[in-house]
Amino acid sequence: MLPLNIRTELRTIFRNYWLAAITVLLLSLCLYAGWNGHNHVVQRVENIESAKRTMQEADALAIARLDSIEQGLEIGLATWQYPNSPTTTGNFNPRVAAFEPGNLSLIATGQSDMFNHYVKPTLTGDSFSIAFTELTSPVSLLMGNFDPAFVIVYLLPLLIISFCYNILSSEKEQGSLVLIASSPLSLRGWLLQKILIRFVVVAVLLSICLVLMLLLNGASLDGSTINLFVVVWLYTAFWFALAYMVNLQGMSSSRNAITMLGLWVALVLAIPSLIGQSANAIYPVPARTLLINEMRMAQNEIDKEQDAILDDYLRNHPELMTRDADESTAYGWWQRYFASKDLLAERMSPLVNGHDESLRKQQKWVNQLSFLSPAVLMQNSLNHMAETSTQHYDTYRQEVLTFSEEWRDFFLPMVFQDQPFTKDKFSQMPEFSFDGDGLSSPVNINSIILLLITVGLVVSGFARSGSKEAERLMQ
Amino acid sequence: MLHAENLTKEYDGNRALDALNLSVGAGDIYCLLGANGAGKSTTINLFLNFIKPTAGLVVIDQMDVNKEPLKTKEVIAYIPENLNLYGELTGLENLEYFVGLSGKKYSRDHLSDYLNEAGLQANAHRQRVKGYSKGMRQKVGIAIALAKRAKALLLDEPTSGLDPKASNEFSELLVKLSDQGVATLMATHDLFRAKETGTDIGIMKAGVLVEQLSADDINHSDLEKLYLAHMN
Amino acid sequence: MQKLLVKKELQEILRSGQFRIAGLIVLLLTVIAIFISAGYYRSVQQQHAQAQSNERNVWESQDDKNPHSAAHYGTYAFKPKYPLSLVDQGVDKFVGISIFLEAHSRNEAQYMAAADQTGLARFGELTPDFILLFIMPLLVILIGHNAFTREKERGTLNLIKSQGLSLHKLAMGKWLGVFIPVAALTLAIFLLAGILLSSLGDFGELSWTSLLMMLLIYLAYYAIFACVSLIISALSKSSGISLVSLLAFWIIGCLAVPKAATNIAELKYPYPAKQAFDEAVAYDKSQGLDGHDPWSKAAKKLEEETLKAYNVSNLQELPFNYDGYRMQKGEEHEAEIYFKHYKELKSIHEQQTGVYRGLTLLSPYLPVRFLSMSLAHTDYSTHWHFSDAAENYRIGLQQALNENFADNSEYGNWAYKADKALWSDIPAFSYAPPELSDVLAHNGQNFAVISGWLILAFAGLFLSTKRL
Repeated sequence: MLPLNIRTELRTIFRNYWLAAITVLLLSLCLYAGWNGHNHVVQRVENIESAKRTMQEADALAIARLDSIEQGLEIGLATWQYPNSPTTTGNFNPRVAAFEPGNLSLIATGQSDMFNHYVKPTLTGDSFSIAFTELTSPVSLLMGNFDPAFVIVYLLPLLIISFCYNILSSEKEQGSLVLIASSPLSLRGWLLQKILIRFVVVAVLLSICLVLMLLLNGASLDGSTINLFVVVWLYTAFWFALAYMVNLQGMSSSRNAITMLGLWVALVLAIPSLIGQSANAIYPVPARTLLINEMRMAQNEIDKEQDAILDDYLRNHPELMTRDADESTAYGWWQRYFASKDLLAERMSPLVNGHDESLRKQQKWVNQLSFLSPAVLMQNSLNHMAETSTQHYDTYRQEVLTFSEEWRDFFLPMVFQDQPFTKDKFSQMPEFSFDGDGLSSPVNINSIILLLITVGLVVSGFARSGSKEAERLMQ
Repeated sequence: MLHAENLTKEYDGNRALDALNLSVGAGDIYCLLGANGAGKSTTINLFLNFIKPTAGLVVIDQMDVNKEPLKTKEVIAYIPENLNLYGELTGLENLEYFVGLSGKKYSRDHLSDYLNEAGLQANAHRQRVKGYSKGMRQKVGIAIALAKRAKALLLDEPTSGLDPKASNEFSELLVKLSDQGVATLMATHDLFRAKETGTDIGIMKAGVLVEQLSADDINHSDLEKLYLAHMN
Repeated sequence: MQKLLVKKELQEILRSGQFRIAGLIVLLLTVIAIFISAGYYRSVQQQHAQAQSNERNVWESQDDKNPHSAAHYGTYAFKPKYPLSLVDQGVDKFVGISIFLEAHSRNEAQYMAAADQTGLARFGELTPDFILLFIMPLLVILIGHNAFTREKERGTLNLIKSQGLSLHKLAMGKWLGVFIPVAALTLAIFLLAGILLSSLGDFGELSWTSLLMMLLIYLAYYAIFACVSLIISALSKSSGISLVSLLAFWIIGCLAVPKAATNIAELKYPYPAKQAFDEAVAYDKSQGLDGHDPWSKAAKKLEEETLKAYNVSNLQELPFNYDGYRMQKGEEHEAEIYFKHYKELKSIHEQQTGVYRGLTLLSPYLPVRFLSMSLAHTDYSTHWHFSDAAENYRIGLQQALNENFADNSEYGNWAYKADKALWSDIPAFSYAPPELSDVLAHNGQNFAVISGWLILAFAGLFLSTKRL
């Protein structure tokens, strides 16, 4: 029966232009979305490259000036701008701590439109002053992006629904179903074959479109892309399995369409938002406003604890500390400056940790509930493969903060021991590197869950009321 | 060949069929007459295993339909009232498909022969079915029965919507099949065709077979009178 | 006649299991959304009020201090929420909640809520605006998609036509049958929202006019969808095809076009990277506003001019502390640099808005969304308005502090400490959002587009039913 079904099915979808329509639709959607994703990545890369170029220029300038200083030449700068002062170099020659895009970053914008992809931690900056959010229109963030993830998670199921909602019902309505039913075969098996054939057609078409999209936008086809295809096929299979279950109920075409669309609304729109809502309700993140208040009060207290003779103004303008000033004052001043920063960080750390802990609990809760919606599983997997997930940005943030401490630890000894910063120290400065690849991936678990759900649907559809099958379907 | 014994079907306390007993032998054409809702289609559906009997037995070719649904379907052919085939496929491709579903495989030429035998003109074989008239589609239905080498044929209102010529052609095909030994059970309103083509006639009313007679034993006019008498 | 038509339509719809189930689900979801939203609104308002008063206490409880130290200690301006944000949260989740006002720097609003949430938040939340903008149109489509196709499928259309009924009357009857249930549901939702909001009392005054305007806009939105549903139903061969086509319209209008607009806007008019923006500002600060007149040079010139103006030969002889005066001028100079850069950001914003405006022709969702956000004061323009107000306050604050320093100390006396009464003398930051009349004036184009859609939709309805 299978070869016969394959031939007939392919003939039918070719001749009623479904095949042509779906090909055109999939191709145009994938290519357009891929182009959007690609532009996004290009912008990101350009920003990082431009920052690196600026850094290199500043480095070259600093080295040239250090040369001049060592040779005793005039360099026409205020003394506080001299690069041989470790505080100057520490503040004005920061490293670019960049988060480079991955091979598949074009497939899902994820959180990449909200956050920075490079920061330049300075010596006197602190963890509160590093801005991780980008300058972007919140309207863009609200509307979202037309990226391949949008096409796959939202639009693909609708394509499948419009392709399959009336497989059985149209046969019934046009009168050919009774002929099928009077043939010596199991209707469920016959229907499963038809759905399977259409699934293979869509999966193959989609794969071709994705390959084209990736290649045209400069992504390379490697091991990670195999993962991508597996995940996309599983998601596609899920929706086909759902279509199978709904068709098996024997309702009219109209009812089928409404049911499937209702399921789409539930799985892709309603359930994800409910899960998110519940996460906010059960693990609410403490208000940032209160965090600000606490920080201000702590800062106030620390200020009051400062030495009475501390020069207020200089504290606010550390760059005005000149080497000509009394060295013991400068030494003492810097010590108290960094000490007060440490004190503030220490006072704030329980609150900040509490904040991060709530966020982590939220994320865990969301991950646990994500099996309720294949759309969530899919989006999470895609975000992870594109290296644009919340987890990626959290990790990047942590690494930047760690790096900024490394940066401080490199310069502070020179500050405290009043050693000048020399040319050879340039090559010893800490460098930042972040690899989005190494994080623990939820992709495999998500895929397994998706597989189980899909197989479960098909098996339960198959196992249901075999004896009353025809009676129900003929109604 | 086709045998119903004390066949009963109830829906929610409503008796659609009440202890039906009928037999159709090889080569017989049994015409089941009756008003809408009399139970004709229910009877056909029970033979097709589309619904399960509440009580009684349905037998095709000495096999219990409920115990061997797939095997019994191998020997029957069915033409519904609205035979809509796959519009985008040609007559030949439709034939190939439905015959293939019952496990038989023929060459294109052989299938064409069946279509010819069923009276479908040769130039229509490769045209898409969405352009066929009802009569032409009926012929494809017959071709399916022929190609399946079905031993029994179940028909539900086959001549409704056919013009007199097409109706006549259809009758001739039925007779041809009957000569080949096919047992035919036909549910119909068409009293004229029933008398013309059938070998046996049964009249149903409210799920009960109220009259059973041989077609030779009655003329057209009396048949009509008998029918109307039962309907009142 | 019309009443008869409408009555039959309503009977059919209200008795249909589909509408009852779907309508009930939508109502339930909306009620849940409103209560969740109200709870969130109340707690955020409480937090902000508390934060604002805490911040003021912190500011006022500073000891005697050099005014410039206080300027660096700075203060926070918290962005308030307004009652209608319960109905439409707009971009609030994606903008910062507080701006740090300090000397020499204009800061961006920090701590956007979305950055503190999981990636799931990008799927959308179960808020009233989500339901009003996305789910209600689906309900309209559910009711309306088979308005004509079911008549065709049952064969009753020919029966109706043979009664000599004008097809226009039929179309209006069907339209009312689709629109009335949804309008009733929407009215109920807004009433509930209004009652809840007016009972919140402490937190902002509810403008019933704005609420009414919002209601009217959403009703127009559903009117458009009702027309489109009927048009497609009239043109389709079967209910299934009609439903799928309408869904395609919904996807394109509510999801695809807005997202495509985002991508186009970002490609054509990208914002600079945050770091690059900051560096450009820092560069201008060092090189001067025009690139070749650094503050150091201008400062020298200022010194000369001031000495000349007061006819003295050295700074000690001036009747005020020159350091304070110089710092104020420096502050003004920096404020100008920020103004220039932020103006560029604003022009990018306007250009991006232009892209969205252009695409309103393809999607009735866009103008409705923007109007709704404007009315709720949760749009980006309101955020800019707040940001500018905070900046103006900051400039005033710096001026007050610098003038205090200049007027009350002698040149070179950095140990001067202002009396702590100064902190409470400087008024607190207060912000009032744009008036309704401004909002309406600002959104003229959106109103025009919605009207255009309505006219075209009704025209389309009458044209398509002519061909039935």
